[in-house]
Amino acid sequence: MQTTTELPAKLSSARAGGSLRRLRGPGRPRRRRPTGALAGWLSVAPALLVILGFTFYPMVQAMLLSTDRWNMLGPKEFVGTENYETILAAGTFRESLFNTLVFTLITLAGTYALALATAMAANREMASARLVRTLTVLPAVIPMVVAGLIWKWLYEPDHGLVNSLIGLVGVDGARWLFDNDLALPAVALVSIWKDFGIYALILLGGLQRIPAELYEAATIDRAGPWQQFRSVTLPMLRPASAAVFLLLLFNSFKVFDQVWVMTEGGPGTATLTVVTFIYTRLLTDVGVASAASVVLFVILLTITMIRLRLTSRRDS
Amino acid sequence: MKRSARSLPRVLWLVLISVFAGLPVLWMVLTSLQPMEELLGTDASLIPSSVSLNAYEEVLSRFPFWQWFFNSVLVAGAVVAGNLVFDTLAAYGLSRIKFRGRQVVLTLILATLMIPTQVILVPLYLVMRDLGWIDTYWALIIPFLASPTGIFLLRQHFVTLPIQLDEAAAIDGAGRIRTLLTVLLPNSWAALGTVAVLKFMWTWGEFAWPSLVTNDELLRTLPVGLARFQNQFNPRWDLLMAGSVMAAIPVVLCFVLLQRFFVRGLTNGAVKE
Repeated sequence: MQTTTELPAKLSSARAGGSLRRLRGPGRPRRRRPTGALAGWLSVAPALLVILGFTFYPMVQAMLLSTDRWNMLGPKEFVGTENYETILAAGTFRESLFNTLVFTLITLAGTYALALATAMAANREMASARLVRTLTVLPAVIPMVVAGLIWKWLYEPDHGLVNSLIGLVGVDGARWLFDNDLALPAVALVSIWKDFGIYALILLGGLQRIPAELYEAATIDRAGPWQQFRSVTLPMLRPASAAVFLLLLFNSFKVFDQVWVMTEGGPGTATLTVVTFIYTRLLTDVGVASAASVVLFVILLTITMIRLRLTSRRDS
Repeated sequence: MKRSARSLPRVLWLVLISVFAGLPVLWMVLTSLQPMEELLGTDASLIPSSVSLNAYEEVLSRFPFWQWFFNSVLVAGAVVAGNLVFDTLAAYGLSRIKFRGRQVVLTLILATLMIPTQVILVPLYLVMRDLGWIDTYWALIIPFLASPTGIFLLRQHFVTLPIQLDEAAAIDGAGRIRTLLTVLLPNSWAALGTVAVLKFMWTWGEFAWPSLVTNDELLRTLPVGLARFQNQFNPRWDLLMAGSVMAAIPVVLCFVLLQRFFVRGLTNGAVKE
């Protein structure tokens, strides 16, 4: 132990993974351990094979297939950019893209507002924070399909809890999932319900990193609660908020499970999302489904790039 | 408490939000315990007047529920085990062994981090078809045995462990495998737990992929089985909720037992990923 701790840091890090038995003196030029390459490749090989074969290769295939017309049975026919032109011209894909955007906006605003309010309330009430944390995170644990089924039952027009509760106040209920205008927000509410607890935790972590002195200084400057919130809390919370926004964006664009279980994209195309669109074309219109996948990938890639941009700006 | 008056709205909000989060779950449980006639009664009673386990018995007798349960356990178990072994090995190699091409491998894995399964549904299905794996467990397990997320999380953790630990082990004559097993892993329970819990929950809840690659009723995982039995027996909410409760119990248990890992894993992933 003694000798190792006395090693110069640079040397020991250069020998990461190397055996010390060959080390004869700290001044000796470093030599690559002969089995290093083999051991290195052996260690990453299983994971690498899985990832290359079942994620990377399919990704490349998706791009190639997006230029073909194919129903999975007959021969493939190269059609160039035709699939992209088809889906990007008017039609169901554009609707699904629009629906996904609306869904994302509702989810983003709703989740952030609920999560922030919850995080701020739990931040001061530390005693209750534990219970609240457990209760609000519980929905996140439940499989999305189960969440979708629960809410489908809650939304039942005649016997569901939502309409019963609304009825108590004397208001007539709605046919939530069967109504063209209400179905998409109703499905978005399931996502808000399921995940706001997780995002509240992330924001709570951010809140707890704000130094108390800032609030003391603000109080001395006679800033009211609203001013403190605007000039201390929100700016200091920006990194956590950015993380929350980007995660929400990323996940909202992939929404599928609850849509499929609750409405299968209907009524009509009212809740058809991008992944739901892909799913319905998957086995019959491979090229179109692939083109839609590539478009989705480009959107997610753009979001990732924005995320990286924000992170690096924060670091510098 | 000077603050008590001012914090009353806060407490009210916390109660309200807890009800919002908890009520649907409570409702699922209550519905599963009520007979169907009562659920569809004209005065939708908020509290069940009688409790019965009939719905559970019916789910278990009418559907191959235990088979689905077994499938879910098998698939999630295999995926978690695979990730713990493969991701750990890869993370070890990428953090502890210097070799030509390491940077390339690392970049490649980071690049795959942002490819979601939804985007590769089509071609991955074709790969499974060409391999003859449609309607087999292989399609549910093999593609997910390793994950960039797991490798990333574990590597992040290994990098924080001092290299001197390895060197001390090497002086004692330990090879790489023994160093990994006896030095690194005992210091990594939190990270390994995070990966295990996250993988378990994600795999358990997976829906789109298993319903695409399995047609055989006996190969369905729980979410797929549940979703499909709602189409056949649309109005049987008691059965659906009973099945939902049973599908949710393992993950909820897992969450309650390993809450700390789960919460840390999610927040870590959020900030770093």
